[in-house]
Amino acid sequence: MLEQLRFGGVSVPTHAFFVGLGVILASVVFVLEARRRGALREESLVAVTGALVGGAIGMRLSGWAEHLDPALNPSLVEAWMFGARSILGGLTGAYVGVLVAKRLIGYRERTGDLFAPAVALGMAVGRIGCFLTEAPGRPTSLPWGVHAPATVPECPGCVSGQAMHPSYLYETVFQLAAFGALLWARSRVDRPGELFTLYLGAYAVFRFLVEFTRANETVWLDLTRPQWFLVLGLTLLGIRLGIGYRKGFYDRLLPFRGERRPLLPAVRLSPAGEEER
Amino acid sequence: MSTPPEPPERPHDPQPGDPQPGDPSRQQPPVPPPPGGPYGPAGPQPSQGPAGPPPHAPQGPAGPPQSYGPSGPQPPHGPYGPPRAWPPPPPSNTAGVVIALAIVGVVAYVIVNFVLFLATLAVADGAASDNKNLALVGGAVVLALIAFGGGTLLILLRKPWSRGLGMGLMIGWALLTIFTAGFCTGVNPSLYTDGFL
Repeated sequence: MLEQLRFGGVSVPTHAFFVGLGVILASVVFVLEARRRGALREESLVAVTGALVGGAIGMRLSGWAEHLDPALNPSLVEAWMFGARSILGGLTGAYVGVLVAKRLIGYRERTGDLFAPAVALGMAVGRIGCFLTEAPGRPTSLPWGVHAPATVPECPGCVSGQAMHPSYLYETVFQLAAFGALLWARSRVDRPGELFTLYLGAYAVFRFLVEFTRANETVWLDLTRPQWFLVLGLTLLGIRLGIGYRKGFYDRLLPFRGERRPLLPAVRLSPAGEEER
Repeated sequence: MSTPPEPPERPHDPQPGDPQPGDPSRQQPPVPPPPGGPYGPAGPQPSQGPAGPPPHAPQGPAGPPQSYGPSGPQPPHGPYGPPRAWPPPPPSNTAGVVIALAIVGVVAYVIVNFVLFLATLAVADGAASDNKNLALVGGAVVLALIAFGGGTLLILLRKPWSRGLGMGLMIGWALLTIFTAGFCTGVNPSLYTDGFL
């Protein structure tokens, strides 16, 4: 574990450093993607503002609904002042923030595809900070299990000296793979917004599974709070992806369906789509 | 008293038998108008180079020239004709200004935040132990007001620079909240009061 990074005589909090690096890299990828799609304009900046403000608020307030029993939850002010830093809360807040920001300026274009590769790369880097400072995961006998000092908070495995899953590194690997897959798929998914939907669906599935290696507290049926949150999210995303699959939005990602199904008329008629292909 | 002489006839005044637009015989060099005389829409402009409308005027064939001078009928809007309805200038690309000022806004917020952060600590230090949290909450509220109140006001000014600056203030608040777990933006008072410093 590495609480502080030292650059010369300056020490920087490890977690904040990797989160900051992730945000910077995500910003670069976002700008490049916006330029590539011809969307480097003010409306995109409004969407970014909504995403960041919504994400910051969402990650603070995610602790507000921690328990089903309202009496056990902190008040809104307490959650705001002492709230956790939840990625799922941040992502949800960012999603809502973009919707609100676009509604305020009356912008109707889909912007999620601009965010998808940027979020994947940013989270891949940010999770390195989590790995270096937080409880790495549940105990394991697998050969790549890692040890952490007993001083790491909320980490029973650290106290007992057991090897644990490097669950944050699993997520870093997933996000890097997702980043590569999104770069590959971005010219094959013509329908605006569908790339982001695919990314959210993949991340929701992965996150649900990786929670089985995470050191989070289980609350009911041996599932953690993020898993219960994801049960709802996966249901909605599953319905949404099923609709997209039936309508042929992902046919060009699936060779057998791509051969069987013609492109949608809207796609065939789109000059921009033709150019991208 | 004598009647003033009739002004010389302008070559472009419409006269019966004049060539119609598009007639090749119209393609002749413009004749300079009398010094100080008014100019028709298609006539040469003094010290402005070639004849023709200004850059933003429609580039179609010249319409029927207006008669002017004492001998001709006066148009209702005077000798210069009705005010020209210039088309609006082409929309300028303000995205660069907005993005640049957003970056300025982020930097400005970081500086303001740092100053207020120190001030909040000083106030909390001097307050009784029961009131420390109150001082920190007050600091957090002031910082949020600067970011969102000031940012919203700037955006409502509807100028490219103000929109960029306003969004920059909000982005600055969000980035500092994410990077520092709310340490700098006043959120998470336990970081201030539990011996973190």
